[in-house]
Amino acid sequence: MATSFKALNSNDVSRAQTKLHEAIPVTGTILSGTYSDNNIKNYSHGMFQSVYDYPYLSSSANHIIDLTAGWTPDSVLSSSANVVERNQKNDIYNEMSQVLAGYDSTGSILQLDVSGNFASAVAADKIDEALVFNFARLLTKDEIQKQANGFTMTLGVNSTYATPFSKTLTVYDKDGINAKTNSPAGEFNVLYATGSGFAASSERPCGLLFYQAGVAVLTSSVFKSDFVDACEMDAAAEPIDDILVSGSISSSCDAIRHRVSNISFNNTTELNSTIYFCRANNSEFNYSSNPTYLSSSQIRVKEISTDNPVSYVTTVGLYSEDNALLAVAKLSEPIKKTPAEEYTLRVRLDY
Amino acid sequence: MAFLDNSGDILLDAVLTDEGRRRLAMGDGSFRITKFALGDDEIDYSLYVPATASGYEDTRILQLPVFEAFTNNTTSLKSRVLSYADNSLLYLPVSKLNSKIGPTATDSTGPIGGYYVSVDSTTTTLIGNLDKSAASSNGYRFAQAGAFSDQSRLVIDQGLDTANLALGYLAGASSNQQEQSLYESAFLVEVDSRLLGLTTPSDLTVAQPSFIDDDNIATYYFALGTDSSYFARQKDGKGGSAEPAFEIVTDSEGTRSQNSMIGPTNITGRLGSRLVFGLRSSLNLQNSQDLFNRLGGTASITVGSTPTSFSFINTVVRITGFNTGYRVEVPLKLLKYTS
Repeated sequence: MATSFKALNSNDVSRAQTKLHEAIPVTGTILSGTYSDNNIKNYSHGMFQSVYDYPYLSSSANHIIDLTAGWTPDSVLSSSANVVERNQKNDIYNEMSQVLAGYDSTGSILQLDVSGNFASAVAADKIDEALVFNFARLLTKDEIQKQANGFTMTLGVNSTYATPFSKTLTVYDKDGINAKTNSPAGEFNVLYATGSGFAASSERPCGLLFYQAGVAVLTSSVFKSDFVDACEMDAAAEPIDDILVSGSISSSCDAIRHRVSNISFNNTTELNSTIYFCRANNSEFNYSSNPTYLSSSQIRVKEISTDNPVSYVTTVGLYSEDNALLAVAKLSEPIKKTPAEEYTLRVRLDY
Repeated sequence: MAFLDNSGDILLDAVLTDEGRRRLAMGDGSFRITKFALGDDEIDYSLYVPATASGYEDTRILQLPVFEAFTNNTTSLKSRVLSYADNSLLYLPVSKLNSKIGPTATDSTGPIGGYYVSVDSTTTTLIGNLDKSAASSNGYRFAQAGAFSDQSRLVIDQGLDTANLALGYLAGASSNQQEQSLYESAFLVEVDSRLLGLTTPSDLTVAQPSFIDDDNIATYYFALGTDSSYFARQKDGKGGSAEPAFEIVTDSEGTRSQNSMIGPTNITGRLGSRLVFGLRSSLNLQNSQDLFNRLGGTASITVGSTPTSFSFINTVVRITGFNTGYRVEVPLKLLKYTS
């Protein structure tokens, strides 16, 4: 009896999980320069600013990062006069905090904290003014890869606005796989900073990196003399605190973008796979039902009956019990199948 | 559809078909892979040159580029690679639409090698009035409820279609084991369920499809063991109960086959099985113009000698040998007379 199907038994099926990593380099000129800000989208609500990898009016453009900035009502900036978008800045800070840091036992929103201990009462560790890089799912996929020095961001911290990159500060993920788990947004680590004019031995925490959420939060102090220089954040030479008070969120984002030299990290995609081992034994799959296989019912690849039958396989089909074709795998070139050969074709289905 | 890069290692590119994704989304356990088949859709075996230097027989075949995977479940693996225990086979069976019992359309505007199919009684009556021999000679089938069984059926003959073998049965008393292994005992029939259903050939009972996929293609599975009413009677051979019989007769004209598509002459070839089933137009086609407007059009078709305007839809019925894998496609032009 001829057969064209072969049953798969339990030994022919295995399952695997694979983590796939892609390197994601974001050059600073995409954030500021290359496209004359035609790839920067601001919204009427003013709560954040979106960065695309191409002018966003083009259908080729991909959304890569959302930037925003805010400060807690407990910040010293709260006492400033003439605060622009005060509510929005407070609201965005609280939104980020409640998602990333969570709540205390009374239901109050915890503050972001460079120590990674959100329940800490050490005021010096609190991020009162936060600069937020919210990476698009397109870049981070399932999560940012946890890897020592895997995430790096180079910031220009020269005091002069026109030459920001004469001094740089490197923000990096120091602890990698030893991630903290006390955030409601998943695993995270403290970001540290070092760089020119800033001794490596004196590296210090400057922010937080949330792997699954795909969010990096920096303290605004990275642009203050606390770290390297008091930076001129716009053409009017305003320092970061003035920008955060008298500028809109969008203009704060403009100032931050101007000082990003590059960002790089690896993303992670978790692939759950089922592998089907399709075994073609020597006596199997040597004939074909291809209409060109026969000429007046005679097999073309044989001249006499003792010639070996030959078939050329290009495709593997996976079927249900009721003969519905559920998946198809293609070989990159035809393979010759004769009674002298046996093959195991490994077909992997990813979910 | 791009070609796969074949300059490097052999790699597999596996994708779910649309039907696979649909079943996965249903979440009812219907997505369960239990078997596999191998296909060779891209291969043209006429490029194989047996009479040449060893190693050069298949040079052109091995250079054929392979398509990326199609995700339509009915588009891939149209021809499957087969397993026979015997490596000494020189002939393999084919399946053919029987155009002797039901002559196919031949006019240039028709479905060449297939049939015009009337979908309702009004159309059937009109065609019958214009051409008394429409069904018996000129490529018409009638698919409305109540049609005569011999006017609604399709007949598929299977066997070894060669003049090099004397007339006989694949599964008869005198058949050897090798021949019996070539007998097809089950068929898959695919048809657009929006347009047509299938019926038993004698009492025209509507058949139930095994499943209907996401593209509305219904797949019917007919096996000799459980559906013998779809397999033609075969005296001294292996068959079911359907008419017309698929057998060798001996009479005053000698021993010969009758109305068989197997064998270039009626004294050659090995008769395998014969599948017979009826066509039944859907209620939607019988009672509504909607699908004709969306999927077809209108055309003037000469019935007898009278040009007549019909609404039409072109479709196809695919018949595949479940074991032997050989596939036949029958083109159909569904007709509805509207005024």
